[in-house]
Amino acid sequence: MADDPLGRFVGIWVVDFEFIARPGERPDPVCLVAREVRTNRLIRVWRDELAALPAPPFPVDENTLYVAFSASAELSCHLALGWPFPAQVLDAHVEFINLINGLPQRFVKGGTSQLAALAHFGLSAITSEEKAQWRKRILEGPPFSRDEAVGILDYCQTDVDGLAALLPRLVQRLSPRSHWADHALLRGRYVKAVARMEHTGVPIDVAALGKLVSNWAEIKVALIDQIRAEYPLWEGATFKHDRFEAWLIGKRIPWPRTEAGRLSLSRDTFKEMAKAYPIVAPIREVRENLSSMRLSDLAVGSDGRNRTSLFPFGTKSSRNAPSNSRFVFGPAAWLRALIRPTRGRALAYLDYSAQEVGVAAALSGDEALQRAYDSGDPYMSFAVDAGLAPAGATKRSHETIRSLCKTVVLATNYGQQAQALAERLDISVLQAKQLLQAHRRTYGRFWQWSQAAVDTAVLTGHVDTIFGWRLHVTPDTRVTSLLNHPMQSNGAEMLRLACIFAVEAGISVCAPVHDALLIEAPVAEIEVAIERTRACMARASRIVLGGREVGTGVDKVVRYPDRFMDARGVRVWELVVGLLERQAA
Amino acid sequence: MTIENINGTAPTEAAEDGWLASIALRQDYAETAGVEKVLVSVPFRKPNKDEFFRVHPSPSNRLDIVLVEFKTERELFVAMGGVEGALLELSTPARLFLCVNRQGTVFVWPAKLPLTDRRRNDEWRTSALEVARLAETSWVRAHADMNLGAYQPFRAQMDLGAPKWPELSFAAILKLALKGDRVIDSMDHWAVKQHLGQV
Repeated sequence: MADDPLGRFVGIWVVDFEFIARPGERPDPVCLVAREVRTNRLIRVWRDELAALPAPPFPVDENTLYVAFSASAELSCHLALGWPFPAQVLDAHVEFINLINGLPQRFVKGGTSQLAALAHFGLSAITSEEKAQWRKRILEGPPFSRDEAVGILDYCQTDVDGLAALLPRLVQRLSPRSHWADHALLRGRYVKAVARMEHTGVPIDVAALGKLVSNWAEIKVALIDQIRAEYPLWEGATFKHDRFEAWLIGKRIPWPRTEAGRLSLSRDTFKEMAKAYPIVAPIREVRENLSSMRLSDLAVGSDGRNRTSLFPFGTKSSRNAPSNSRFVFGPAAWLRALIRPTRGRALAYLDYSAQEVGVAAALSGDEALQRAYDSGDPYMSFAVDAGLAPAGATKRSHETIRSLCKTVVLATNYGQQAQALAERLDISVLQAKQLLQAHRRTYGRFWQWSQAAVDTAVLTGHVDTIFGWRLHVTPDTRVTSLLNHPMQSNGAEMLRLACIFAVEAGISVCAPVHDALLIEAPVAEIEVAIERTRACMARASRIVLGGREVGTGVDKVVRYPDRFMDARGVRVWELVVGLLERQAA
Repeated sequence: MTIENINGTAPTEAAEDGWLASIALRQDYAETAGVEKVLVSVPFRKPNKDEFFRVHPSPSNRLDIVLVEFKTERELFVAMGGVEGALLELSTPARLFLCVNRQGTVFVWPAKLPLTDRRRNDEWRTSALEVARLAETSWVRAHADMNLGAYQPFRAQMDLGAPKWPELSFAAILKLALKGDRVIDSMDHWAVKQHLGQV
């Protein structure tokens, strides 16, 4: 079938596992149901039989397509069972998100679950209550009665049959897109890498975590006590709204309110207000350290590794969206000190340098911006190119102007206007206008490309990444969000390729973190692993940027018994350690 | 089709990179957007005192005209079609220059020409032409220096790059700059009637 984008495959197997998933643990498979969609051949395998199988009971070669909904979970079951991975994977969940990404809520009721996808196409399914009931029973774990086993297999089969019905609808809607099938399989390849990374997990100092959990009440008070004298806004460990309101009035700070008229205390509000009013920053820091830290939510398995779903393609730009409370890189920076390699092992944190600027320069073809990026310090280069600093100026000699220029360069990616920039930098609006104009003049080609990208998005109703991740553009879409989208979303493509190359090269990747990778190796091999990973990252960059390379840096190398320390969290970590030591004494 | 499927064997890195390049979607929006800037408004004014600007050096991008200035209303018009005589005390010869500022805004500058009978204000007019001549090759701003009684030009010291000129012809740009009722070509023009107390 020449018109069938999946016609190249001899077999298409729709697969679903039921499994027990405890926080931080690898999955414990309960059953498998798989159906070949052309022959309708059905396979049902219960728990005890699964463990005895050395490989999946269906082909996983290059000519067979493996289809699953949130396939990283199914692939994690392969790893748990010691089965090989399928060669070709299509994740129907990822493709459903790609189909609806950016559409207003009224078009995509019910989120992105399989039930929501079936409802989207008007296909019947079991009720969410029925599904929740079966999930609850499975999570309760064995022993399962014979009737329960049959019931669970039947339930699992409803998902498989639902997915078999969903697949042709997805293919019909998505296949008109240029190279869709190739792009979908590339995304499937990333999902395989995700399963490996989730399987690996991040090593955690479980003893330290235990101490933090058991002393959390005292730690909270100690963190607040650091600033309590200057900011008497807490009673014990409770943030008092009325005191905060009085404090704001005293400082003459206009504070955003909720629709109900109360002071907005969201993370985003504090983040923005701390930029505009530096006096607010210490309050924000303490609140971040406290509120983002629900330690009991941190998903750590019995093997001492933080392991949680990375939620690939979970954001509009297609970056991962792991849970902030379950993923160790989610909460406050000081908690990353809980990351610690085990005996004989080492960790390395490698990131792309100023990835957004590098992507912007390469994709726009702005040679001036490319030169600035290639200089190694695009912010200082902008200052020089715009005549704001003399030739030869460095970060050390012109720190203030570099800092201004860094904010301008990053702000321009988000379409920030002079008023907001002036507030952020504490400069006049006129000066902010001049800085923005200087950027427009210096990097005219970038601005022309950026505007053309927005024009194209608005004219066609969508914007695609290099490998076909689509964001729909509707009247509800904010233009400022479109400005940065090509950089963010193609940067995400770059990191995905880097993950694929690194994992397939046998490098132990613990987790991707925005534009960085945390890798692990024996101490004696970490330097080699670093170089191999950097080569993977550079190759990914060349592919996405047509031969250009975004630089990579080795942000940290941590060898046992040292722990991972984020510079922003050192002070708080030392404070907490001091408190714990005093208590122990 | 992935490269593995084509060959049935593990691909070389170069082959795989070539395959990935073959399925890449274009991101060069500046070449493919299908959008062009359309000039629909051209200010008809003097350069602002804080504005660095350039004057197009080509003689084909300038035009000598009779300028009519209603000082009370601070409005400028171009007189044509024999009405100049009726508005003699409001009229003066002027040269229209095609200009562009640092923000890329195109405007037409009506610079008054020196008068042959050397009446007062001649230094303002002479210096304005000097500013225009300087702006043909340099980014310049001009400040009306009351003590000097002339325009004081300031030339940018740094290399600000070449100006980006519009692709439209000067005639088409003038049409935009003078659109509406900025050309007085009969005594029925509202500005003339207002001047003569007829409305």
